[in-house]
Amino acid sequence: MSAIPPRPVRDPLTEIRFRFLGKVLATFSHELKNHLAVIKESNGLVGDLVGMGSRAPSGPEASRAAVEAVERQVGRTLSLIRHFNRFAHRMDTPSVVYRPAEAIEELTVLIQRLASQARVALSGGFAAAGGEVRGDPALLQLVVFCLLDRLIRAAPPGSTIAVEVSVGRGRARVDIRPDGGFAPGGEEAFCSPEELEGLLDQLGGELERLGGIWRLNFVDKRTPDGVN
Amino acid sequence: MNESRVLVVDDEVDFASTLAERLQLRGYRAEAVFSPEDAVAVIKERPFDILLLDLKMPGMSGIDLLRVARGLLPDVEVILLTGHLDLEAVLEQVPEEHFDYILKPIDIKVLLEKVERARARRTGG
Repeated sequence: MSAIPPRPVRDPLTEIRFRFLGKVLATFSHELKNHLAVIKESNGLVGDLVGMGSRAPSGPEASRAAVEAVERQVGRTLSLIRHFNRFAHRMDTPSVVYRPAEAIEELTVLIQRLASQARVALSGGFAAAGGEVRGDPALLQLVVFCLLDRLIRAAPPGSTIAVEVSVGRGRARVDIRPDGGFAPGGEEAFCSPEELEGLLDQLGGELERLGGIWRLNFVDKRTPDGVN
Repeated sequence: MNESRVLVVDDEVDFASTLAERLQLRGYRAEAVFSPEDAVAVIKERPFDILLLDLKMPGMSGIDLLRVARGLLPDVEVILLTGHLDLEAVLEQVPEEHFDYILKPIDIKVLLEKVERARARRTGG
């Protein structure tokens, strides 16, 4: 039997991109399994009721409710898959013109379960923020994930973290506002401070703390400020 | 009529309520709640023979809920519902507790076998 080749050594910032992808994939597949579980049970209930025929206690109503649950669930699943598909394509090229608001909305949908496990709600006003920038949307998603991950771990249960995106004058901004405060705990965050700093450098971004708001500023790389 | 009292606890509302309904159709006195806190409140109010607990719930895991529930109902039978394939890690968390488990999406026949085995343990049958 041949030995398993050692894992290739990657630089830390490439490594964290792989870790992020793994995290999102794991969350997505877990969520998908839950969605399938609902569809399977609803379908099973319809089968049970059909099998019981006239003996079913609330036949047509219960069947209709189960069919509606399947319909609802398929809609939720399709929406999740659409977001995941767009997320996957963000990695196609590191320099594209994109809408940061869309990239961040996608991220918040995909990590919703991580937040809800901690009893934290993620909210965002993305529809109005339609401006475009040039850059690496996958990198922006990773940076914002690192920030949200820290806040989610530190947020009190029942609190909300609001995310707002704005674009203009060659720069873009992501404001993250936790309404329940921020109390760093002992738990290890997804990104170390050094990793976050490295990612911010790559993004051409800087992080400001304005009271309770975490503000991520980053350049539109179409402008003279930009690197490429 | 099967008189076993079954509580389904899962934050996926459609999943939990549908599963409870399917168990009711088979004669079990089944009900569903959608959070660990509601489960504890209901268990404090009335006894159950069998608990079906989702492993991953907001606020409190199925494992933590299992411990709380056993504090209230020491002889209750527990079947964990899990989407996790890494079951060994789950089992290692609670070597002292007895419980069964089933993977989601569930196979109703397999679940019913497990529920029946749990019922037999309860009744000594």
